[in-house]
Amino acid sequence: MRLRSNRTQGAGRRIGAWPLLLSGLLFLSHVACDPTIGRIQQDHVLNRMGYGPDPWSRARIQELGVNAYIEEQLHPETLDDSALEAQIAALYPVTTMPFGQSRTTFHEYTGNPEIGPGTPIRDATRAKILRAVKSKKQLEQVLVDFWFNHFNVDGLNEEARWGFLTLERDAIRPHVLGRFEDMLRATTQNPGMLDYLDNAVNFRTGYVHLGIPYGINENYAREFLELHTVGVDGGYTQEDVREAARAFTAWTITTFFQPTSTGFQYLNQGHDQGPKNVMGLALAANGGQNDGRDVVAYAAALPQTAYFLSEKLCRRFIADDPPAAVVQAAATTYLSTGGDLREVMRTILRSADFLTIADRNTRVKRPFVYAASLARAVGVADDANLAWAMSEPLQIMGEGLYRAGPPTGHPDVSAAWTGEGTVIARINLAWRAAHGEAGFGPSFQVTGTTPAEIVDQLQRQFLRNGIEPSTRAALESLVAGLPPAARVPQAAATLLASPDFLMH
Amino acid sequence: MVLNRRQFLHTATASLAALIAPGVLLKARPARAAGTDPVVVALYLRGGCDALSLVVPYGDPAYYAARSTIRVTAGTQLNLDGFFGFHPSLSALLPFYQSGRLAVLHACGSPSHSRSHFDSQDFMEFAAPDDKTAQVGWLNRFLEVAGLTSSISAVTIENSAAKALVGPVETLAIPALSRMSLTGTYTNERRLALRQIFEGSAKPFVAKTGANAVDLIELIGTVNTATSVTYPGSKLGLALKDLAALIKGDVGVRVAAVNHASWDHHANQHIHFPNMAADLGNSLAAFATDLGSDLDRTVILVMSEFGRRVAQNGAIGSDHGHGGVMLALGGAVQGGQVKLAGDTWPGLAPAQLFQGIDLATTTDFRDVFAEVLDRHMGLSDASPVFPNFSVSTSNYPGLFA
Repeated sequence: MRLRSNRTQGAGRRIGAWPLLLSGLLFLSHVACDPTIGRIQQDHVLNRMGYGPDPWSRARIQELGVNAYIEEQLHPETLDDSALEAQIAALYPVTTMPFGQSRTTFHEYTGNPEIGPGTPIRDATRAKILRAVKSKKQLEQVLVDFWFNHFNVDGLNEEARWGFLTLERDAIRPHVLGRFEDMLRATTQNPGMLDYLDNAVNFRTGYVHLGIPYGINENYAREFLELHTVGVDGGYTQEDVREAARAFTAWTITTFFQPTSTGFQYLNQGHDQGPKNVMGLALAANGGQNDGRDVVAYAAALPQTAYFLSEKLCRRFIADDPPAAVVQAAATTYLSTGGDLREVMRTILRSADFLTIADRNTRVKRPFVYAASLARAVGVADDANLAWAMSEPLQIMGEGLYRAGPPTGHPDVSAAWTGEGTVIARINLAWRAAHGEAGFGPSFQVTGTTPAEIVDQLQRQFLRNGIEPSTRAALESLVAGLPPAARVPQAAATLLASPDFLMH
Repeated sequence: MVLNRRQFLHTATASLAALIAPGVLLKARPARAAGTDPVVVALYLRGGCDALSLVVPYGDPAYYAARSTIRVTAGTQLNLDGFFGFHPSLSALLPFYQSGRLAVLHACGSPSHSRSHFDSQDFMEFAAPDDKTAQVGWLNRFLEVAGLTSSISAVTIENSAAKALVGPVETLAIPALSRMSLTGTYTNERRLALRQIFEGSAKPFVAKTGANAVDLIELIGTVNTATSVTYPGSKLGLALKDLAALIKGDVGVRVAAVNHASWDHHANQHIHFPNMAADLGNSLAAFATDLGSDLDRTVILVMSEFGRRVAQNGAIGSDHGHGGVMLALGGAVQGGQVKLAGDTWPGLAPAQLFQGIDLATTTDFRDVFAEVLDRHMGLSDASPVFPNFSVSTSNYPGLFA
């Protein structure tokens, strides 16, 4: 593991433009000298590469420095989440089951509300909330959510009610800091994906499966190109969509479900064995399952894919409209490393564009980020209760986990999470957090009693990044009019719904 | 303190509207009484609604030749004009058609060749086919040009603005009226503190939205949400129920957007489509009934990004296609007709199809939008709303007298 201290980090960075490099160096020397700016940058980094600061992450980034903290997050295998994972396995056993076992266990309505087709999405949602709030592997959790949305399936959709879980756990999570091609290949064989985008019923024309004649279905192939790999401007035609669909014929879901089954099968008799050409990739006749495998490898290696993925990652970590230079740098890394996502992430997270505190608190937090950052900020009294209580507010705010209907997943730009209704929902969640409802366990580091002291100490606890003058003034006058016992929780509730906490 | 809609003003800055006197582009009208301002509702069917199932061209034999199992069974369609018929699940809408308040626009859609959901939705909502740089919704441009810059003028019944409403003029996004209230101790001091925080904020996205949200807590509290009409319990039904309350309450809403998701039927369309169509038809009929006399000042436009492939696919479904269908519902609509450009059905025989596979588009959706803005909303010149498009009254489909 390469570790660098703050003082030397400027030398190792890759930056395309001299002005950026210069400003970066000036900025970094400033950071090294000024502990206030250092803490601001630490919180900025914790906000953008994770679900916000909590006591452990603040102490860790203070101890290691920003660059070494980033490096450690790029190697989640060095971080110990075993207690959390044991807790999740005990609370939500369905999250550890193979596809076949969860399907056979839960596919019937039993009359028992704890055991039925709704169980996997319910428990996986709770598990995901707990990981976001409690995991030390913050970057991994953010990336798993990012890539799940990239490869979105609707967890309420037929076989995806079981498959979404293995899509995230088995196809995505192991590869978020590995090779993109490996992740892509795993998603092509996931029963949730095959069902949700209808490749499970994509067969050569006239093939009879279980007594029903089938034919080509374009749905998966189109989204494979448009959403998963080269992007809508990646240069493919309607003919390429058709050819890609033919390449993936007979990649389907198993007919019978053994408990150990992954849910995938390839039925050679149902495959279209004719020659094909997908975006310039010629596939000879009788390619069988290699047709699809070759399309995966080919698409993953295309420059359009490198740019498309890099832009999405830069959007998530840097800005709604990310600077072209950092997208270029990330794509260059992707192409020179064979799609190594750890290297791509290192390029992004070590860029001046990511580290600059000028951009702090400018992107609207998605509801999930907002809710998890609240819990990390104020603390948790009851993990299971929190996970239970947060599921519904996420749906109300429009980010029900595993419940995005369209294959684009939940959107990732600020405008999509800006609405009057969601602001009210956030104000209400902040109130519950600050008042210890819904499993939250607030502990306030407030010793002062005057309005100015209370607001100042809460700001230092929750928003070291700083708050706007209007926030401070309004909070002080609110506190002045409140009885003593209500002062701290009401001030905290309001501060945690203020613009600086709504953004990251 | 209860804010009325005239106090509820957070006008967009640096907008075209700021440079011109508000409302000058609206046609001169006699002063209107409360509750008489025209309203337009854009109802978007996300996923590519199958136009040939929604409004069946049962008089075209090629329809049956192309669709062996996803066809609407001959004879079960609800006859409209001897050639087209509604899907049987749209029975609730038939009375509105028969009474001349509902018009169908068939073979209607976008000239773009794209079969991407997401590009095609953007192209339609920005009214800018194939222009990937467009970022302002057609209804937002309308608000700007018409000087309707009070944020209460436009609302999306959703967590965020529909693309059709995105742009320099502020609009509201309210997923449910019942949720626009505060948890915990409610005091004026708390509300005012929140108001001041957002009002004084310089943050993009959240500052004005937050201030609007706090104002809405009190404003929405004054809206009567009770109705004697029974809506479907679906997301669409509940959204339209809330929208009807806002329109009937005359709080100033002039433009609204509502989404109806899940029309992407690549498989088992014969199972999914009837349920979707029933939800659409029953929700719309309830909405139109609930509006009562306010239906006379309201036009609801129903649209989707594209129609679907004429031939069914291999999984009792249909893949992405081209030409589609729109519906226009309102008291002022000259309905009871299926409107076709040049009064001609492009046809479903193989030689008649767009690129050999899809229904052709003969009515450009922008001509429909332009006619609604001109003839219903009273915009004297709709051209500024449609970049790179020549608005011509002679191309209007004839939705209004």
